[in-house]
Amino acid sequence: VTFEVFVRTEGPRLRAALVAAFGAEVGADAAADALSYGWENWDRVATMENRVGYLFRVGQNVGRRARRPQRLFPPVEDAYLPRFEPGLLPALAALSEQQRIIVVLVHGYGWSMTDVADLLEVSHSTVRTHIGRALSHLQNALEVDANAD
Amino acid sequence: MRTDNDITEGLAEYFGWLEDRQGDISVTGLTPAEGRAVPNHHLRRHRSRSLVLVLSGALVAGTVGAIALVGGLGSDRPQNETPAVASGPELTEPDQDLSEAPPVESTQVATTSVPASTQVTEPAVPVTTVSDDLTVAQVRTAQLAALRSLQGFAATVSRTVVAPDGTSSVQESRFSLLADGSFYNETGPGLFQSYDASTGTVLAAFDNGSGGISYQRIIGQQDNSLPLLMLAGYDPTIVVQEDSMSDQVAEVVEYDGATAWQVTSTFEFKKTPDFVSEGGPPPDDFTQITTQTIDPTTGLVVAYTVTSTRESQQTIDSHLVDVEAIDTMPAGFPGTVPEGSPVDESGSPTGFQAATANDVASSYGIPTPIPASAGTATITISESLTYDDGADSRIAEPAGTYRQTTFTTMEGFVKTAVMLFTQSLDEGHEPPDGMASADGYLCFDLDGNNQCELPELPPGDDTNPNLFRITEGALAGQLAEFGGQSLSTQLPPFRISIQVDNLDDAKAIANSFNLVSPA
Repeated sequence: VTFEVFVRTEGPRLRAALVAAFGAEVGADAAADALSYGWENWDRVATMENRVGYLFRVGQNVGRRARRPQRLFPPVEDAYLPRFEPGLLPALAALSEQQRIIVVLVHGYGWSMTDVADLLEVSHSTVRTHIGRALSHLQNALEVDANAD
Repeated sequence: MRTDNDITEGLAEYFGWLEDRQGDISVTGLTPAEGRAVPNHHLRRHRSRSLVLVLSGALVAGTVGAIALVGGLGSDRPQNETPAVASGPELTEPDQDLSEAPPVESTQVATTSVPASTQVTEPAVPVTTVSDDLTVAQVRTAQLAALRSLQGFAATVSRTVVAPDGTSSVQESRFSLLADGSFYNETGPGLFQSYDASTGTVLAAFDNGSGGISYQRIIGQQDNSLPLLMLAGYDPTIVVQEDSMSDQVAEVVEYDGATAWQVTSTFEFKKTPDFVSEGGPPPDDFTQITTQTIDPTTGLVVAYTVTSTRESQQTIDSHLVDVEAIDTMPAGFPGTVPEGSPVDESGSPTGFQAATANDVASSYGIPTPIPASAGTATITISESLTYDDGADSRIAEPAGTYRQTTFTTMEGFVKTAVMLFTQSLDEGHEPPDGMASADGYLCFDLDGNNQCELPELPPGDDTNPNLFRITEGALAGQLAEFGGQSLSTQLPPFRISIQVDNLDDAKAIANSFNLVSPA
């Protein structure tokens, strides 16, 4: 796989994962930095089985050192998503990094739990556990009744 | 009242909107093959630590040098200015008896120039489709069985590479490869490349372009991929696998006068989402077709071709002929460096260390789960201290060390790998959100109570045969899951992955771990 093909096929996944972890602004920058690192070291990165997972860790390192912005996720203009619950965004930002990554990738970006497990090099069960807890936190934050019909 | 569905639908709506809003990933000149063009403003400056790259480049020079030697070309001649030759190399007749292989020798037969319009050429060895009543999974299973009983082979590889500008080169060279990874190839008088698996050493003697021979050595190389891939362009022992990104067809074909299996994978790139090169038009869609032809007797991939509709993509066409089984390396292996000759060792990687099981536990400094197979495995420890603290202050040394220990055992050419992963945390640093620190290592903290925690068995999953608890050994009681060709589990702070082809073998390995204390 050439680096260019990798960027085109896997770049969006890498950015999505880092956006999930660090928000829209820092996540996108971290993805660019991680891809930059991958580009300079492609001879070695290309041989890895989990290239996205590796560059995700590179991006995590960048993101964790970045200054945390006041808002992780930009607000939505009502005209675009009129039914969107704005309280979801601060609730999402209040989750732990790991829970936010997993719940955003699965429910926000539509990844399979297997894909997320591969990215994070954790088991399927860990992903499921995180999702359950993340949704529970979001429900509490939004005072959602999970049993409502 | 809102429901769970409202939350998940809200997440899907929002991140769909955000992705549209963020648009494309802008990359410029990200084409290492064209000479490390300057990245755009997004791409930061880093101090390079890619030590392997240094030697890799030198070995490329060695291969080019070998082409020049045998072809009688001036060593300073650009590759694209090669003389036109009317005919390609003469290859072995398809019906030749494989048991009558010629003596081991290495020749560079031709460097040709062909018009761009004929870039996609007929295969050098005829392939005829016999049947398409086959699946990739069936091929994989049968190939694995054959490779398990193969201890080594020698073969002549014929490799045609057509560059985007239409020039082509044909290289033909004989090499030997053992199941332990040892590799040897002579490219001319006094010229060779080798990998000695017993010492983890790559050695190369190549034409330095000034009429002399230069020598290079990499100590601590974990595998033979560097010399093998440079020679053959592919690994003949790679096992075919199902690829969800490609359309795949498995067929029974006739190759080199015998029945073979062929897997054709077609990857279609569509520019959605669109990637825009800064200052230029977006790249076109393209289709890349890869074929792997497998010899049922040995399990080897005896033909490997890559063609692409993309102009900048190289066309690769590699074939193995005169395949013979061997169990020892040729007499010249691993090659000789004349006494007193300078040897460049600047490319030796520092990240990989060969180790024993006791070394592994000592390196972690805490009781360490180690598989029973460690006694016969090749063990490597890789530490990813790869981030730089260059001009960009946001990229700094990690606050810890990511360490991967791999226990590799071979059955013929089939590899089983057990990997341990840890992330340590340097003193004075706080663990990130969602993680805790124990004995200096990070672990998952699901509750946010600064305790390492294990995932729970989700309700209703107790009937899933791929999700189970390990019953014996140091990992007894831990939850494990098998999927694809790997089993994952953990014993905090260790995350453990077992790369093996079937569930039964994975369970047997998972049940075999011992907890070894550091000396």
